[in-house]
Amino acid sequence: MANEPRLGNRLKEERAAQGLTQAELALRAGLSRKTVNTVENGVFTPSTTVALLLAAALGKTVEALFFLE
Amino acid sequence: MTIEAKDIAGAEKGAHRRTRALMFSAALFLIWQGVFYKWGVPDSAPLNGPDRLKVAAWAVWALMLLVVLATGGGLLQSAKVRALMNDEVARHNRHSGLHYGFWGAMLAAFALYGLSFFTVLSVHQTIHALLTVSIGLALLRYAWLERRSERGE
Repeated sequence: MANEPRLGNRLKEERAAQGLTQAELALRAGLSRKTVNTVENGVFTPSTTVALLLAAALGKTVEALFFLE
Repeated sequence: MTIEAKDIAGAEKGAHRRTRALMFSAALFLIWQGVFYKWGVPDSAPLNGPDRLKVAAWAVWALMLLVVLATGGGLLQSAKVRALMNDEVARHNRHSGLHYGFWGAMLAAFALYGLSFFTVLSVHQTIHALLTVSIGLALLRYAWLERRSERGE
């Protein structure tokens, strides 16, 4: 594939809309704050498991949080 | 496994301490290589008492660093905190470190092979150089990526 698509996310917007800090979202999802931070900043592409945990913690579908750029 | 706020805080503190320790250990391990060569690497067997102690102490140190690379460290923490410390990001960073370590070892092996055409290298010198490059490089890469991840870079 010449131009491999990148994974974008709306994590920050959704988290802010629910008034959550990264630490609070991490607690809800059972993840470390570092994971939330790096996924949110697009530094780290999460596994399906982490994407599902984040989506469940925010009450959203994975497709609502993550998209291909 | 229910995660509590104190687990997340503990993991964050533990991971931060680990990053600093990794940086320090990697630097010291690489610097020590120079000191070791300055003092003279044992090049003939059987080793005398002080040389035996020196080589054994270094081997234990290298083994301990390998255990950290293999497990991600945090062995004294609770299972929950350890799982959070060795999260997906940390595992990815550690694998990248191991990848660098492998290629460092391969390049060092070729360099030593080339060097052996011009000078005699003892088994001790060769193993010492290979382990130093591979473990040192792996630790440095792991620590560097962890530091960047902590900063969200």
